[in-house]
Amino acid sequence: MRSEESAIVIEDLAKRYFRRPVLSNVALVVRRGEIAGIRGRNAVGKSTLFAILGGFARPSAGKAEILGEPCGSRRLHGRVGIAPETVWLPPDERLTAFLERLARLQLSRRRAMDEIAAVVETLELQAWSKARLGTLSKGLAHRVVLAQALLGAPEVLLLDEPTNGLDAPLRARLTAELEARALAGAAILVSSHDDAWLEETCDLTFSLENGSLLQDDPIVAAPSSTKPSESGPSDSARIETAEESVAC
Amino acid sequence: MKHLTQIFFVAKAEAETRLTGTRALVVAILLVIGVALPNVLLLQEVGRVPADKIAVLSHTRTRIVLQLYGTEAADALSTCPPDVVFFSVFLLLLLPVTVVILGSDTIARDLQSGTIRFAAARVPRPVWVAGKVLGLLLVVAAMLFALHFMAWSAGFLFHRPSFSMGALRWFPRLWVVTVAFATPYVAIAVFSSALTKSPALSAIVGFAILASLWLAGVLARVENLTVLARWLPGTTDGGLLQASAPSVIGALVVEATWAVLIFAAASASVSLREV
Repeated sequence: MRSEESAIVIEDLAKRYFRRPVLSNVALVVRRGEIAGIRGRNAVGKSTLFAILGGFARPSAGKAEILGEPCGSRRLHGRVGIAPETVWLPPDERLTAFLERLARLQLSRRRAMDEIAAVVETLELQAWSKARLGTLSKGLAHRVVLAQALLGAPEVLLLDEPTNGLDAPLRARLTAELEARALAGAAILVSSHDDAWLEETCDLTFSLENGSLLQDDPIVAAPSSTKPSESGPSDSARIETAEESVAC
Repeated sequence: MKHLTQIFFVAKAEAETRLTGTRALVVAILLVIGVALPNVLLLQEVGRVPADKIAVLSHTRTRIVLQLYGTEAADALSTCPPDVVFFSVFLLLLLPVTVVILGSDTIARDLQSGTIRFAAARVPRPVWVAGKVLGLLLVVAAMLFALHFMAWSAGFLFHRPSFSMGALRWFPRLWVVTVAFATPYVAIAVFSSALTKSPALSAIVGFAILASLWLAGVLARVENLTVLARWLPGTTDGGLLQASAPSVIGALVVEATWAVLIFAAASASVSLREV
């Protein structure tokens, strides 16, 4: 069941590093039950936007809220699943032990083990469940990063380049998983270089160019059965620049 | 309660990482060598010299303890086997450097790899830092217990006369003293590792802090600034070794206060930084 409540709200967001603007006048609303996608070339600020939403970086100006709380708020701990694009996993730790260590920070042992088993199966990591993280390929390591984000049934998912290292069948499985979670009420924001996957998976997509977000032409012309746009045009996920807002 | 549970799990993970890694083992071996070597040399010397000179050597050791910790502590230690006293003195001298070597990458490695994001999405950063401090402290406490156990076992095997059952009560006390003494250094190691993403740089910062504290302690003693000498971290080992309860409790409070203050600084550093 999809809720109409806004889960991710960004207004006039800007980020500068040493006076160098990375993001400017970014606005975005993603409601519960929606999947929004961001496309963009490398180094245009996608990861910075995700870092701000995850509470790992502070905006230079503007507002960024998740579930009505400022990003990084203590009230969001355990409610937001985050998969950063670039992380070096601890090489000596075993896959299941690593996931268990993170899951136990928020879940009981039994629920943690159940959820780990489920995400390991979803991302086809069973064969490596006892492997040391240092021995995994880049693609497998990326799947582990995705797996930890899915633990704990988060209300909001922020996935930076989730399709990196995934083959076509796994991309399809990921799409199915995200759609199931969106149906359960989660708000999901993803970034990807893979335009086809974005169009297949997301309710709306946006392009990040020169630090500003531009809404793409509607891409939900042929939505899946789970898309809200099927029952009517969706205006619930929206990313726009301030300039666009003024123009409207 | 939820945060206490989270601290426990962060501490458990940190302790497991430390104990399964090679660094703790290397540090423990270096500590054993550093502490055991002077004692072994001393014991060999005692075995070689005539009986009347043993008294001179013992006197020398007593003088060293007197000079380091004062009359009250030396009196309190008179019932402790002298070999163990000397072992503990060297342990206390080497402990700050050892702890900083062991813990200087505690947070820096997570900052460098980005894995801090996994934890920061689930728990408040001060809770995470508290877990890191507790985990490192548990490892140091376990390491010190093992070292004391080895020292006492060796003492019982080779120096039975001075190792009466009555002297055994010093075992837990000296262990607690060394753990209490190590606590602010654990916090310093974590604090220095919270300042930079580079484990090597954080180790340098940690050593710089140790050097500053050592210099302040030396200056305090030279200038007879007893208040300063009594209130600096790492200068309360004399108090911890004394017989009177108020001295011991006072020293414990000083060490605990320093540990909490340094932990607060580490928490602030981690909470304020972009990761």
